[in-house]
Amino acid sequence: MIQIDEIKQFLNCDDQFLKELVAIYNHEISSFLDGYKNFVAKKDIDSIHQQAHKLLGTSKLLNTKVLTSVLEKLEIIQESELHQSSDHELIIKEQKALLEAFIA
Amino acid sequence: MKLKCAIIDDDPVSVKVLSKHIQQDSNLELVVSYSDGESAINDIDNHKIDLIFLDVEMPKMSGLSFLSNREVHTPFIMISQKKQYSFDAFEFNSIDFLVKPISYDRFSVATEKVKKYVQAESHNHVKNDFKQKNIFVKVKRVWTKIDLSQVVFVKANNMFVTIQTNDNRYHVNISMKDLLKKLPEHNFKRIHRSYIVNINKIDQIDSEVAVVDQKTLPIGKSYLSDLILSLNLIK
Repeated sequence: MIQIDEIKQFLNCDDQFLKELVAIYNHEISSFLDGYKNFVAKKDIDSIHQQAHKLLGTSKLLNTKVLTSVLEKLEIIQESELHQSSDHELIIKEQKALLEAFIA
Repeated sequence: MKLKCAIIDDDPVSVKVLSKHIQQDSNLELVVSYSDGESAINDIDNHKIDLIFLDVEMPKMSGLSFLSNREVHTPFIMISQKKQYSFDAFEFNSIDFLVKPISYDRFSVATEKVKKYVQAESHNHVKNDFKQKNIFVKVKRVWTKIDLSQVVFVKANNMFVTIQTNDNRYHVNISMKDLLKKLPEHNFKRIHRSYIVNINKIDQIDSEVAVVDQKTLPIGKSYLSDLILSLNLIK
Protein backbone atom coordinates (compact mmCIF):
# COMPACT_ATOMS: atom_id res chain seq x y z
CA MET A 1 0.00 0.00 0.00
CA ILE A 2 2.64 2.52 1.06
CA GLN A 3 5.33 3.20 -1.55
CA ILE A 4 8.14 3.15 0.96
CA ASP A 5 11.09 3.99 -1.27
CA GLU A 6 9.30 6.86 -2.98
CA ILE A 7 8.31 8.41 0.33
CA LYS A 8 11.77 7.95 1.81
CA GLN A 9 13.24 9.72 -1.19
CA PHE A 10 10.57 12.42 -1.05
CA LEU A 11 11.25 13.14 2.62
CA ASN A 12 14.94 12.25 2.56
CA CYS A 13 14.39 9.93 5.53
CA ASP A 14 14.98 6.35 6.66
CA ASP A 15 12.65 3.44 7.53
CA GLN A 16 12.62 4.27 11.22
CA PHE A 17 11.48 7.84 10.63
CA LEU A 18 8.75 6.67 8.29
CA LYS A 19 7.45 4.21 10.88
CA GLU A 20 7.43 6.96 13.52
CA LEU A 21 5.50 9.14 11.12
CA VAL A 22 2.89 6.49 10.43
CA ALA A 23 2.57 5.79 14.18
CA ILE A 24 1.81 9.46 14.84
CA TYR A 25 -0.67 9.44 11.99
CA ASN A 26 -2.40 6.34 13.30
CA HIS A 27 -2.77 8.04 16.65
CA GLU A 28 -4.34 11.04 14.91
CA ILE A 29 -6.79 8.77 13.10
CA SER A 30 -7.74 7.15 16.44
CA SER A 31 -8.44 10.59 17.92
CA PHE A 32 -10.55 11.44 14.89
CA LEU A 33 -12.56 8.21 15.16
CA ASP A 34 -13.08 8.80 18.90
CA GLY A 35 -14.77 12.12 18.18
CA TYR A 36 -16.40 11.27 14.87
CA LYS A 37 -19.65 9.67 16.13
CA ASN A 38 -20.13 12.58 18.48
CA PHE A 39 -19.62 15.11 15.68
CA VAL A 40 -22.13 13.24 13.52
CA ALA A 41 -24.67 13.01 16.37
CA LYS A 42 -24.34 16.75 17.00
CA LYS A 43 -24.27 17.46 13.24
CA ASP A 44 -21.05 19.36 13.92
CA ILE A 45 -20.05 19.68 10.29
CA ASP A 46 -17.28 22.23 10.95
CA SER A 47 -15.39 19.86 13.26
CA ILE A 48 -15.65 17.03 10.73
CA HIS A 49 -14.33 19.34 8.00
CA GLN A 50 -11.43 20.52 10.21
CA GLN A 51 -10.42 17.07 11.39
CA ALA A 52 -10.62 15.54 7.92
CA HIS A 53 -8.56 18.41 6.54
CA LYS A 54 -5.92 17.80 9.21
CA LEU A 55 -5.62 14.12 8.25
CA LEU A 56 -5.67 14.66 4.53
CA GLY A 57 -2.11 15.92 4.04
CA THR A 58 -0.54 12.78 5.46
CA SER A 59 -2.91 10.44 3.63
CA LYS A 60 -1.70 12.10 0.42
CA LEU A 61 1.91 11.80 1.52
CA LEU A 62 1.47 8.09 2.26
CA ASN A 63 -0.41 7.74 -1.01
CA THR A 64 -3.29 5.89 0.68
CA LYS A 65 -5.79 6.49 -2.11
CA VAL A 66 -8.86 4.98 -0.41
CA LEU A 67 -8.32 6.93 2.79
CA THR A 68 -7.58 10.11 0.85
CA SER A 69 -10.80 9.73 -1.09
CA VAL A 70 -12.91 9.36 2.09
CA LEU A 71 -11.18 12.27 3.80
CA GLU A 72 -11.69 14.47 0.75
CA LYS A 73 -15.40 13.72 0.95
CA LEU A 74 -15.49 14.42 4.68
CA GLU A 75 -13.60 17.67 4.25
CA ILE A 76 -16.58 19.11 2.38
CA ILE A 77 -19.42 16.86 3.58
CA GLN A 78 -22.85 18.44 3.95
CA GLU A 79 -25.36 17.78 6.72
CA SER A 80 -27.65 15.98 4.27
CA GLU A 81 -24.88 13.43 3.56
CA LEU A 82 -24.27 12.45 7.17
CA HIS A 83 -26.36 9.30 6.78
CA GLN A 84 -23.27 7.79 5.09
CA SER A 85 -21.17 8.35 8.20
CA SER A 86 -21.00 4.70 9.30
CA ASP A 87 -19.71 3.68 5.83
CA HIS A 88 -17.00 6.32 6.07
CA GLU A 89 -16.12 5.24 9.58
CA LEU A 90 -15.78 1.62 8.50
CA ILE A 91 -13.45 2.49 5.61
CA ILE A 92 -11.28 4.64 7.86
CA LYS A 93 -11.02 1.81 10.40
CA GLU A 94 -9.97 -0.63 7.64
CA GLN A 95 -7.33 1.78 6.41
CA LYS A 96 -6.10 2.32 9.96
CA ALA A 97 -5.66 -1.44 10.33
CA LEU A 98 -3.51 -1.48 7.19
CA LEU A 99 -1.34 1.29 8.58
CA GLU A 100 -0.98 -0.61 11.85
CA ALA A 101 0.21 -3.62 9.87
CA PHE A 102 2.83 -1.41 8.22
CA ILE A 103 4.19 -0.24 11.58
CA ALA A 104 4.31 -3.82 12.87
CA MET B 1 25.24 31.37 12.40
CA LYS B 2 22.13 29.20 12.49
CA LEU B 3 18.72 30.65 11.75
CA LYS B 4 16.38 30.03 14.68
CA CYS B 5 13.12 28.55 13.42
CA ALA B 6 9.59 28.27 14.77
CA ILE B 7 6.81 26.06 13.41
CA ILE B 8 3.15 27.02 13.80
CA ASP B 9 1.05 24.07 12.65
CA ASP B 10 -1.68 21.95 14.24
CA ASP B 11 -0.80 18.76 12.34
CA PRO B 12 1.73 16.69 14.34
CA VAL B 13 2.81 14.73 11.25
CA SER B 14 3.55 17.95 9.38
CA VAL B 15 5.46 19.28 12.41
CA LYS B 16 7.54 16.10 12.54
CA VAL B 17 8.37 16.31 8.84
CA LEU B 18 9.32 19.99 9.07
CA SER B 19 11.37 19.33 12.21
CA LYS B 20 13.31 16.66 10.37
CA HIS B 21 13.88 18.89 7.35
CA ILE B 22 15.14 21.67 9.65
CA GLN B 23 17.39 19.24 11.50
CA GLN B 24 18.96 18.14 8.21
CA ASP B 25 20.00 21.69 7.32
CA SER B 26 23.11 22.74 9.23
CA ASN B 27 22.12 26.41 8.89
CA LEU B 28 18.78 25.97 10.65
CA GLU B 29 17.76 25.22 14.21
CA LEU B 30 14.25 24.47 15.48
CA VAL B 31 13.63 26.46 18.64
CA VAL B 32 9.90 26.15 19.26
CA SER B 33 6.67 24.86 17.73
CA TYR B 34 3.03 25.82 18.35
CA SER B 35 -0.18 24.03 17.42
CA ASP B 36 -2.13 27.22 16.68
CA GLY B 37 -1.69 30.93 16.07
CA GLU B 38 -3.12 31.93 19.45
CA SER B 39 -0.42 30.09 21.41
CA ALA B 40 2.23 31.50 19.09
CA ILE B 41 1.11 35.10 19.27
CA ASN B 42 1.49 35.12 23.06
CA ASP B 43 4.93 33.53 23.19
CA ILE B 44 6.91 33.81 19.98
CA ASP B 45 8.57 37.14 20.88
CA ASN B 46 10.32 35.40 23.77
CA HIS B 47 12.48 33.37 21.39
CA LYS B 48 14.24 35.77 18.96
CA ILE B 49 13.07 33.74 15.97
CA ASP B 50 14.68 34.26 12.53
CA LEU B 51 12.24 32.20 10.44
CA ILE B 52 8.64 31.05 10.93
CA PHE B 53 6.95 28.14 9.14
CA LEU B 54 3.28 29.10 9.30
CA ASP B 55 0.37 26.81 8.48
CA VAL B 56 -2.74 28.54 7.12
CA GLU B 57 -5.66 26.42 8.38
CA MET B 58 -5.51 25.87 12.14
CA PRO B 59 -8.06 25.86 14.98
CA LYS B 60 -8.42 28.84 17.37
CA MET B 61 -6.36 31.19 15.22
CA SER B 62 -5.47 30.57 11.59
CA GLY B 63 -2.18 31.56 10.01
CA LEU B 64 -3.89 34.44 8.21
CA SER B 65 -5.39 35.75 11.47
CA PHE B 66 -1.96 35.45 13.08
CA LEU B 67 -0.51 37.67 10.37
CA SER B 68 -3.43 40.11 10.57
CA ASN B 69 -3.22 40.38 14.37
CA ARG B 70 0.39 41.38 14.68
CA GLU B 71 3.16 43.09 12.80
CA VAL B 72 5.41 40.26 11.65
CA HIS B 73 8.93 41.46 10.97
CA THR B 74 10.35 37.95 11.04
CA PRO B 75 10.71 36.24 7.64
CA PHE B 76 8.11 33.51 7.27
CA ILE B 77 7.11 30.74 4.89
CA MET B 78 3.41 29.94 4.61
CA ILE B 79 2.41 26.29 4.28
CA SER B 80 -0.91 24.70 3.41
CA GLN B 81 -2.50 21.70 1.78
CA LYS B 82 -4.41 24.05 -0.51
CA LYS B 83 -2.67 25.81 -3.38
CA GLN B 84 -5.38 28.46 -3.35
CA TYR B 85 -3.69 30.17 -0.39
CA SER B 86 -0.65 31.04 -2.48
CA PHE B 87 -2.28 34.37 -3.32
CA ASP B 88 -2.63 35.18 0.40
CA ALA B 89 1.00 34.20 0.88
CA PHE B 90 1.95 36.70 -1.80
CA GLU B 91 -0.26 39.39 -0.23
CA PHE B 92 1.33 38.93 3.20
CA ASN B 93 4.90 38.94 1.76
CA SER B 94 5.65 35.34 2.61
CA ILE B 95 9.11 34.46 1.33
CA ASP B 96 7.78 31.26 -0.23
CA PHE B 97 4.67 29.09 -0.18
CA LEU B 98 4.91 25.36 0.45
CA VAL B 99 2.13 22.90 -0.35
CA LYS B 100 1.84 19.87 1.95
CA PRO B 101 3.18 17.26 1.85
CA ILE B 102 6.53 19.03 1.75
CA SER B 103 9.44 17.24 0.12
CA TYR B 104 12.96 17.85 1.37
CA ASP B 105 14.00 19.19 -2.06
CA ARG B 106 11.21 21.75 -2.13
CA PHE B 107 11.91 22.68 1.48
CA SER B 108 15.56 23.32 0.56
CA VAL B 109 14.56 25.62 -2.30
CA ALA B 110 12.42 27.67 0.10
CA THR B 111 15.07 27.92 2.80
CA GLU B 112 17.71 28.96 0.26
CA LYS B 113 15.44 31.91 -0.59
CA VAL B 114 15.27 32.77 3.11
CA LYS B 115 19.04 32.63 3.50
CA LYS B 116 19.47 35.01 0.54
CA TYR B 117 16.81 37.30 1.99
CA VAL B 118 18.48 37.36 5.42
CA GLN B 119 21.88 38.05 3.86
CA ALA B 120 20.48 40.93 1.84
CA GLU B 121 18.69 42.36 4.88
CA SER B 122 21.82 42.09 6.97
CA HIS B 123 23.81 43.87 4.25
CA ASN B 124 21.22 46.68 4.13
CA HIS B 125 21.23 46.89 7.90
CA VAL B 126 24.99 47.34 8.04
CA LYS B 127 24.76 49.95 5.30
CA ASN B 128 22.06 51.79 7.25
CA ASP B 129 24.13 51.52 10.40
CA PHE B 130 26.92 53.43 8.75
CA LYS B 131 24.50 55.97 7.28
CA GLN B 132 22.76 56.77 10.57
CA LYS B 133 24.67 59.55 12.27
CA ASN B 134 22.12 61.27 14.52
CA ILE B 135 19.04 60.76 16.62
CA PHE B 136 16.56 63.36 17.77
CA VAL B 137 15.28 63.54 21.35
CA LYS B 138 12.76 65.87 22.92
CA VAL B 139 14.34 68.41 25.27
CA LYS B 140 11.87 70.86 26.81
CA ARG B 141 9.37 70.19 24.01
CA VAL B 142 11.96 70.75 21.30
CA TRP B 143 13.38 67.97 19.13
CA THR B 144 17.11 68.18 19.61
CA LYS B 145 19.74 66.49 17.49
CA ILE B 146 22.34 64.27 19.14
CA ASP B 147 25.35 63.33 17.08
CA LEU B 148 25.74 59.58 17.71
CA SER B 149 29.51 59.78 17.49
CA GLN B 150 29.36 62.01 20.57
CA VAL B 151 27.34 59.54 22.65
CA VAL B 152 29.49 57.82 25.28
CA PHE B 153 26.94 55.64 27.01
CA VAL B 154 23.28 55.39 27.99
CA LYS B 155 22.20 54.70 31.55
CA ALA B 156 18.80 53.38 32.59
CA ASN B 157 16.92 55.17 35.35
CA ASN B 158 13.50 54.34 36.70
CA MET B 159 11.21 56.01 34.22
CA PHE B 160 13.69 57.29 31.66
CA VAL B 161 17.19 56.86 30.28
CA THR B 162 20.11 59.24 30.46
CA ILE B 163 22.13 59.68 27.28
CA GLN B 164 25.63 60.79 28.16
CA THR B 165 27.50 62.55 25.36
CA ASN B 166 30.98 64.10 25.41
CA ASP B 167 29.56 67.43 26.54
CA ASN B 168 26.00 66.91 27.61
CA ARG B 169 23.48 64.73 29.35
CA TYR B 170 19.92 64.13 28.03
CA HIS B 171 17.04 62.54 29.95
CA VAL B 172 14.66 60.73 27.61
CA ASN B 173 11.41 58.96 28.40
CA ILE B 174 12.02 55.65 26.63
CA SER B 175 12.94 52.10 27.67
CA MET B 176 16.47 50.78 27.15
CA LYS B 177 15.07 48.08 24.87
CA ASP B 178 13.27 50.58 22.63
CA LEU B 179 16.21 52.99 22.53
CA LEU B 180 18.57 50.18 21.56
CA LYS B 181 16.36 49.45 18.54
CA LYS B 182 16.84 53.06 17.40
CA LEU B 183 20.63 52.95 17.64
CA PRO B 184 22.94 51.47 14.99
CA GLU B 185 23.60 47.92 16.11
CA HIS B 186 27.10 48.08 14.69
CA ASN B 187 28.20 50.77 17.18
CA PHE B 188 26.02 50.41 20.25
CA LYS B 189 25.91 47.40 22.58
CA ARG B 190 24.11 46.69 25.78
CA ILE B 191 26.70 45.68 28.38
CA HIS B 192 24.47 45.58 31.46
CA ARG B 193 20.75 45.83 32.19
CA SER B 194 21.38 49.48 33.06
CA TYR B 195 23.99 50.41 30.43
CA ILE B 196 24.36 50.71 26.66
CA VAL B 197 27.77 51.85 25.41
CA ASN B 198 29.16 53.27 22.21
CA ILE B 199 31.78 50.59 21.55
CA ASN B 200 34.04 53.15 19.84
CA LYS B 201 34.37 54.87 23.22
CA ILE B 202 35.55 51.79 25.12
CA ASP B 203 39.16 52.14 26.30
CA GLN B 204 39.52 48.95 28.31
CA ILE B 205 37.46 45.91 29.29
CA ASP B 206 37.85 42.85 31.42
CA SER B 207 35.22 40.25 32.26
CA GLU B 208 33.44 42.51 34.76
CA VAL B 209 33.86 46.15 33.80
CA ALA B 210 34.41 48.42 30.82
CA VAL B 211 36.28 51.69 31.01
CA VAL B 212 34.45 54.12 28.78
CA ASP B 213 35.73 57.66 28.48
CA GLN B 214 37.41 57.38 31.91
CA LYS B 215 34.26 56.02 33.59
CA THR B 216 34.11 52.45 34.84
CA LEU B 217 30.85 50.69 33.93
CA PRO B 218 29.74 47.19 34.97
CA ILE B 219 29.39 44.39 32.39
CA GLY B 220 26.53 41.92 32.98
CA LYS B 221 27.53 38.26 32.55
CA SER B 222 24.82 37.63 29.96
CA TYR B 223 26.04 40.53 27.79
CA LEU B 224 29.77 39.76 27.86
CA SER B 225 30.00 37.29 24.96
CA ASP B 226 28.00 39.51 22.60
CA LEU B 227 30.18 42.49 23.55
CA ILE B 228 33.41 40.56 22.97
CA LEU B 229 32.17 39.41 19.56
CA SER B 230 31.56 43.00 18.53
CA LEU B 231 35.06 44.17 19.49
CA ASN B 232 38.08 43.72 17.32
CA LEU B 233 40.11 41.63 19.79
CA ILE B 234 43.57 40.42 18.85
CA LYS B 235 44.68 37.74 21.29
